[in-house]
Amino acid sequence: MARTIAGVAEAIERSVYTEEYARADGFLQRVDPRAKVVVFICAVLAVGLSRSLSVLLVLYALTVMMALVSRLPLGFFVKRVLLGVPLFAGIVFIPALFLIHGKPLIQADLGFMHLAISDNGLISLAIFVTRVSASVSLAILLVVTTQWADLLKALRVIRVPSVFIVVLGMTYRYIFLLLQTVENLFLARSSRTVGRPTDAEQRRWIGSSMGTLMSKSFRTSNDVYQAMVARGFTGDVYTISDFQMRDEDWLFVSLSVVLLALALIFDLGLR
Amino acid sequence: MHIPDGYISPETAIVMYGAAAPFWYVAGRKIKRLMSGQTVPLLAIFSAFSFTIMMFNVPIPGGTTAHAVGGTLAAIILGPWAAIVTVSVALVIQALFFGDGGITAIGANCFNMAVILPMVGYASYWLIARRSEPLSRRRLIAAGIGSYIGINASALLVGFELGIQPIFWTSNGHALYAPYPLSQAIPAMMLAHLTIAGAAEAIATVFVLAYVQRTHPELLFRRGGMAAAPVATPVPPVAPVRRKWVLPLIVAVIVLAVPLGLLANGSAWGEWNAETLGQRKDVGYVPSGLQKYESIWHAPFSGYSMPWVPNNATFFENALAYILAAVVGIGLIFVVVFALRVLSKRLATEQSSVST
Repeated sequence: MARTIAGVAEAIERSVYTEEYARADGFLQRVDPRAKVVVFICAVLAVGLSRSLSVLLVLYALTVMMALVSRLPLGFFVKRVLLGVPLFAGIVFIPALFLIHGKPLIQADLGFMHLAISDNGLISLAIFVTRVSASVSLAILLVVTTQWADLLKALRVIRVPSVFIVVLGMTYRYIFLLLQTVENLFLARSSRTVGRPTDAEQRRWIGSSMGTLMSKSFRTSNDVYQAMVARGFTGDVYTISDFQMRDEDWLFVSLSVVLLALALIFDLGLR
Repeated sequence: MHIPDGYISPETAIVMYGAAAPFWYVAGRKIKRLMSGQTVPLLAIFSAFSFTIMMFNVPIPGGTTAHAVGGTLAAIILGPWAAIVTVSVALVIQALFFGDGGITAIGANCFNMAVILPMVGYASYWLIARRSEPLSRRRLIAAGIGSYIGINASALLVGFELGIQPIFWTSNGHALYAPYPLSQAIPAMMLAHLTIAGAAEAIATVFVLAYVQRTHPELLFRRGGMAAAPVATPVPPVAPVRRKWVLPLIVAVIVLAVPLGLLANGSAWGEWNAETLGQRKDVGYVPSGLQKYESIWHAPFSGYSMPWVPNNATFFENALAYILAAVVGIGLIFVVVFALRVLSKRLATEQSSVST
């Protein structure tokens, strides 16, 4: 129970931080969201396609540079990136170190089995972790430097239907309402609990609170629908796009694309 | 079960987007028909519900806890098509905002958890439940077994997607993406899901359904979730937006066609390109971009091999090199043009501020 509460609190806190960075006055925050989305897609493709460690490292360094000029605190950026998914990826990879064959670098004979870490294993590990770090950093960079509403509107450039964009936006808003409801449910329950409830009791209670949440969701969606109809909602969705691509944005897009294509060309050469 | 960025190759990611897309499309249409005007708020709030459900720690016999996905539950109560959309939206928000699952892997994650999981789960539920009473015990058992089968089908798929990575994408003996072959990835996924995660999913589904049977039975009798609400006559759509993609499309076709020259033995590539482009007067700056790029590339282009591409490169790699070179050439033109425009604008504003 306590773990769920902690998880909920962390999710809310994280989103507050994120919006704070999106409002800061940095380089990427000033770039048109559509330009950012396009460059992000190209960058993720480049990171995904390159096969050499050096190119991946350069791409990762570029990402970190972008974070710096966008005034994201390096500690926040590196910590949130490296301590999360890449660390996990590294741990996941450890058994594979011994499984990939190549020129052995470190060997150990345990009597019943022979363990060896090969050069290929180490390179694989380095490539894997760098690639994961770079991809995750790119994603965080995009999300953290863009206000959520702008990011959703920018998805129009890649032809996401506007209905989905509106649903995504509303979902995001109601997630916080529901998270708060869950937090209250759990707090109310734990404040009235003495001793440690058995697992069976907890399961029943978790099931009931999920059910409660579901019926609340039905009621809320009914209310919201009525409120929307009262304000003139007819079932069709319109979005206002008030973005302006400036020359600087075009420059950003073209320069990024050139750099990424060059990186891939070098990568081809290093194969 | 969320696949992060970098675990699967871009090729796999794109294929998985392609696999999920038709389901999204059909689901979108079905839901529109079933729920009329209420679609938007209902889907939004139930996506938020799906998201929240995934945050619950479900205690499992044996002392651990695990998260449930709730896909089968959503399919039982909302219908399978609505489940596809709500779980997908929840997964997209998890990926974009909370770093759970990669952005490139959204297609794969949605296909595994938002399409296959509810589809297989619901089908198994339906096969077992048959025409039993909506409030019967048999429905609960069916839901438990269905959700268990659903999540394990999904886990099997994840194991497969990760397992094919080292088979297709290794270079010089080292793995490029997820390193474990099928023989290790599938057992690892299945072990975790046949026991812990599968139990969490089944427990959550059964207990919530039991609660709904007890307290909100009306939800189980309504098909498609909600009764259709009266919808006002739609406002005629505003004038269609002018299509601006013609020029980019032409540029893209030209860029992608560049490596076609490779088919003609490689050597005639430069001439072929100049000849065709010479006849195109409509695209203004593009020929100059390609000409520039030609002059850059023709000089070091001796014999039949590009200097940067190894001799043993595949046809695909050669083609990629040409396309990338074209992208660099055209991109550089854009860079120069916009850099000049930005500079001149800066100068102009400086001058005007000096003069005032």
